[in-house]
Amino acid sequence: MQLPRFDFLQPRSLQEACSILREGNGKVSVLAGGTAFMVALRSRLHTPSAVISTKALSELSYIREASDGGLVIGAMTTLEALENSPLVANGYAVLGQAARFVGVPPIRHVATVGGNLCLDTRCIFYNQSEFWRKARPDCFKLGGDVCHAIDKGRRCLAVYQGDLAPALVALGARVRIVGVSGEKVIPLTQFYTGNGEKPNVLEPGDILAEVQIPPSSGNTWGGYEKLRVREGMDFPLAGVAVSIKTNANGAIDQARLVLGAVAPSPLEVPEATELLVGQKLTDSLLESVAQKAYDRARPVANLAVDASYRRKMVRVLVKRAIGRAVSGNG
Amino acid sequence: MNKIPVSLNVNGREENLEIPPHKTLLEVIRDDLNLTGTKCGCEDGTCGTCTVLLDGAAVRSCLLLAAEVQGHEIVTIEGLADGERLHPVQQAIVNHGGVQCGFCTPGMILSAKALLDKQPSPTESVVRQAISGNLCRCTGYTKIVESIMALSGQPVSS
Ligand SMILES: Cc1cc2nc3c(=O)[nH]c(=O)nc-3n(C[C@H](O)[C@H](O)[C@H](O)COP(=O)(O)OP(=O)(O)OC[C@H]3O[C@@H](n4cnc5c(N)ncnc54)[C@H](O)[C@@H]3O)c2cc1C
Ligand code: FES
Ligand code: FES
Repeated sequence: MQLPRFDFLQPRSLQEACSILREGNGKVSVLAGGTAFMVALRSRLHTPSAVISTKALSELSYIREASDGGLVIGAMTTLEALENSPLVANGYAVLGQAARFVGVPPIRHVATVGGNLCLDTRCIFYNQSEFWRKARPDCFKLGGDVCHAIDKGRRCLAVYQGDLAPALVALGARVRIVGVSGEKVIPLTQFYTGNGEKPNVLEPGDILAEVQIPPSSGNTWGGYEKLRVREGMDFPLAGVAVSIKTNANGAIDQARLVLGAVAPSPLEVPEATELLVGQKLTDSLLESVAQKAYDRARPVANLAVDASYRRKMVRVLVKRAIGRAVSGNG
Repeated sequence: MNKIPVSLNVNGREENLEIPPHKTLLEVIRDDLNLTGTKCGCEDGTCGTCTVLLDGAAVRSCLLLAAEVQGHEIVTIEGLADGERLHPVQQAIVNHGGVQCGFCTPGMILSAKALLDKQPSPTESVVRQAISGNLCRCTGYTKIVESIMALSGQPVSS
């Protein structure tokens, strides 16, 4: 099926892109790698009057050490660049692992970091052809007032299925958002709204320009694991990212555990941090941490696999992710 | 309908086209350039039958607008053979029985070529990774992997 008609614009700079977006006032969309948006366009989930292709904005494609010793990553950096970056591998392993888990190599060659973070939320009742969708009344995310996933559901719980965000939240990342009227830097946790209808805080005219990660020390370990239908390529049905810092005695100094694909935004498990910090890892501790993650995760029946199975798998994935982190197999 | 001029370099030829801006690279390759070796399977990025090389790397042409790839080199399956002489990857697929219905074959060959151009002797697991985005409903992949491994010179596990 052909794409809906739209005009094609190729801005030369970030500023130009922002002003086109602002003038478009919601009718103009960003096309970055396009690996998610082209599919959404084809199924008429979006029918913009114009798209602006940011592929040529090389000013947004970089992975650099920041002045504070952390890492800064431009929004147009490809996932392929991320998975192959020695800077990422060295201290931010969880991010490289998460990147490697996205789609397949030809997708990662064009898919961008910004596009992954700005990925729309997904639901089996939403990500369908126009023909399929027309058979039911519009759901919340389509502008209607019902939820087809949850009986008498009162709000949209479409799932944020990006793989990078849980890893970046575990690393304490911030994002730089550039708009026509200026720019701001906010923690990635505040970028997501938790509302399936409008998953992030971007307004027309805003572009996510950069990801900033605080410095990591030598003994920081990371692990990412996900559940998917096919091992070879698929969006996560549940994901777990963990970042752990140990001290000279092998005890845990810092730990962050974040779940993906079980809610409209990445979900942090602060109880895991409380349990882990100051301790050495044991099987029974691991079991309690996994239980806390299970308690937090409340997936609903809106993806291809049964919600209770996704929830049970969170427990398994937590153990695998921490196991992977501490074994240094990142 | 509003059309824009788009110049593409496909298989070493400069093609100057007037196309609507919402046309995908896949549509232009098949419908405007009549290069129907590139297949259209799912149009949602899943199957890999639309694989072409963009500056040497395997990409999905159903997920790119033709207007976005101006100034880049595109190679389709038609660009591989040298006259009657098949490209080594094509020949290997023929020799080792890597084709059944043939629908996945152009994409499979281009993914393999992209890998071998970068890494001439990949291991089996690297080969399997490289073709993991190309679905085949016929062969069960074994013969395809064997074909590519014959070029890599590395041992096959089974
Ligand atoms: C077969 C297949 C498998 C996939 N598997 C996975 C998977 O396992 N895990 C996963 O996370 N994703 C997966 N994806 C989705 C997608 O490929 C990735 O999420 C990718 O990183 C999206 O990046 P992109 O640059 O292609 O985004 P695009 O498609 O260009 O954009 C996505 C959205 O973000 C907006 N956007 C993009 N960049 C910016 C920016 N800088 N500022 C503001 N808005 C922006 C766009 O307007 C659009 O709404 C898969 C896709 C396919 C087709
Ligand atoms: S047609 Fe492009 S991936 Fe299936
Ligand atoms: S040979 Fe038929 S799909 Fe691969």
